[in-house]
Amino acid sequence: MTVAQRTMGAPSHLLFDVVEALRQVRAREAAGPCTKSIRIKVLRNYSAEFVEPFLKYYFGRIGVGCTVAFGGYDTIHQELLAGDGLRDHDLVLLSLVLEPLQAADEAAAGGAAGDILARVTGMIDLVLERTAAPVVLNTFIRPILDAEGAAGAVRAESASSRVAEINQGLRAHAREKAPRCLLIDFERLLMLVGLEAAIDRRMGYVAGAPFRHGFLSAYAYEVFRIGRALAGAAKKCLILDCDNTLWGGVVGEVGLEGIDLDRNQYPGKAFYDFQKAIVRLAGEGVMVALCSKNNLDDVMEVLDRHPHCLLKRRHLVGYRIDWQDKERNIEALVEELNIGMDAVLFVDDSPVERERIQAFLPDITVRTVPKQLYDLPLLLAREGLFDKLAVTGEDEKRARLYQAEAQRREVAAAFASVDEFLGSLELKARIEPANASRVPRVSQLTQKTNQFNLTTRRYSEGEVAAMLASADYAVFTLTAGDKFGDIGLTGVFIARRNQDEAVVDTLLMSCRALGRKLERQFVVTCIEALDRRWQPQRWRAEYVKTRKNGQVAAFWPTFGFIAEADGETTQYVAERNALRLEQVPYIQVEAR
Amino acid sequence: MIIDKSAIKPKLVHIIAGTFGIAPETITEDFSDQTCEVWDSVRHLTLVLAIEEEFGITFDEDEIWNLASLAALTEAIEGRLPT
Repeated sequence: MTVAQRTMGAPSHLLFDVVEALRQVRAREAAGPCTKSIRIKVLRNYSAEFVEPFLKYYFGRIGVGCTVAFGGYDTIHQELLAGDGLRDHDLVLLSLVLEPLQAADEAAAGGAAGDILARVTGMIDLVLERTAAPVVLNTFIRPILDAEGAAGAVRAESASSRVAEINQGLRAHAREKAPRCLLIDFERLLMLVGLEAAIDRRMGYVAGAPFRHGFLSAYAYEVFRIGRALAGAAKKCLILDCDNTLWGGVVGEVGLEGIDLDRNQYPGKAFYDFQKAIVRLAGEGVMVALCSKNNLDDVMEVLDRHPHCLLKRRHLVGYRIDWQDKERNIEALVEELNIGMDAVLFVDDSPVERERIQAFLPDITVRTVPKQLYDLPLLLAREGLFDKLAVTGEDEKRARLYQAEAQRREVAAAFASVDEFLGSLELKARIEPANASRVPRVSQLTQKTNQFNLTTRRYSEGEVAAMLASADYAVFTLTAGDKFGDIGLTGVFIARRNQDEAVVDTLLMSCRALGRKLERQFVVTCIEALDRRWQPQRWRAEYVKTRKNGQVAAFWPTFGFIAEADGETTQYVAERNALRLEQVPYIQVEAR
Repeated sequence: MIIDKSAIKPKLVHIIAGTFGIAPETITEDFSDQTCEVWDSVRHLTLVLAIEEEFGITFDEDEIWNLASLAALTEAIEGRLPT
């Protein structure tokens, strides 16, 4: 195979062409700075520099700036011990290949798996001590031309078995340190791009650069997936067309019996497997909704009665099935769900519909059903659009919560005033200092809450844990509920003591808790608690403007805060006795 | 793949310009790592690999570091392409 052929057949979500990546990165940089950015540090023991253009390319495509700093070639220990080179990074890659990890006297024998593993885990622990950022590890690649063959595959001391053993140990260590550690499986990347696009033994020898652009592009994409989840840019909602998307054929024409949807028989099986992927996402807390031009009864008959339809009404957080324009219906659905349009993936079989919706709703992501139906089941997995760093209990409950929300909306319609309605909800708010078990959820909320978020500061779990440990920080959580059920842990308030002042660092509320004045009660209770604890002379607060948090621009003045400086960031101050802290009468507060 | 030799130079200039982020007009006949400030070792290897991928050729390991000028690259590519 020639080199040119190596760049062909790249998986559709990956770009192998480094010159094209560089051009696009430059074009984007010329267009001005990005509002969001991610700083990545790469500690490595090989020439990993060629990954940089691909990292910048993938992040650039979603409008996130990316800076990449490389540690010295194979000087990881020295750098870690020398001090604080890791502090200013959002993500640390500990990018290792096996060979330099073997001591000279072990090189011939390959080194005992235990010794090498101990070296690697020692390094991981050292990195974890020196950064609060997530640390991304990688597995090692087993020898591809295995001198020992099939017999060696059985022997524990063969080269392949040894590498497999190291990988197993590495995985166990990463699991122990999860969610601080993430692990990218290099062997899977190699399988994905193919050996010819992955490995360059020649460059390994002459430049310490064993990986080709194809492999590094796939590696960069995996890192991008992590960064995207970290930046809160993962999709939260999947909206689906019905005919020729969830099943083959038009149900209104061919009827329940006539559609292609089958557990065993292709092409029905492709739709069945696609539904399997959808239901799995719904179980992980992704909001699934339908938007199609059909008779409602036809679609519901399939959901309720088709023996091979895995997707059921209970998986859905909403639907718009009628003959109106889809963009209108999508807009209405998204408004109901209280999320941003950029958190939505819409899947439709029609390229025309795709163009149309993309034109009306520029922030939405649309994918079309592939012509080759056997590729349909992978549509949702390929790009990792719904990635999150850890699946929390909250995620799993979310679909249920949104269904309760739908019920609440129906009840609301029966009341004359908002307060009367809210009074009828029997709202409860538990407001308490966060403890260690809340760290993942608090961190997750800082990462993905965009709309009701006064400062949009993203915190890793390590950073949240550090705040819990500090006497100068206070982290409060709001857990709410009403007569329809739990709304869950949906609010975070972080304050900092600065001599005789208290500063609100973060105030955020998950969208599903809004519209009940819970946020007002939350602020009142937190400030009162900290007044007792810290007795500050005055309070300070900020509003940091983003594209999405316009709804809270005028939030602080409603408590008596006065704006000091105006701009992208508005600074507020209030003397303690000038604050207006009014209890919300119909919320039953349980404070600790 | 048969490539007309006269097509090599413009294609090569296009790749160099893209890799180094410079205007194609600045890539003159005497262009080399001596005349180009941004030509460092990382960009050199990026360039060599990009050329291989574009032309479908593979350079020998002992010539890779010597391909540090427009003239040397052109000659090496010409020598590898089937005529």
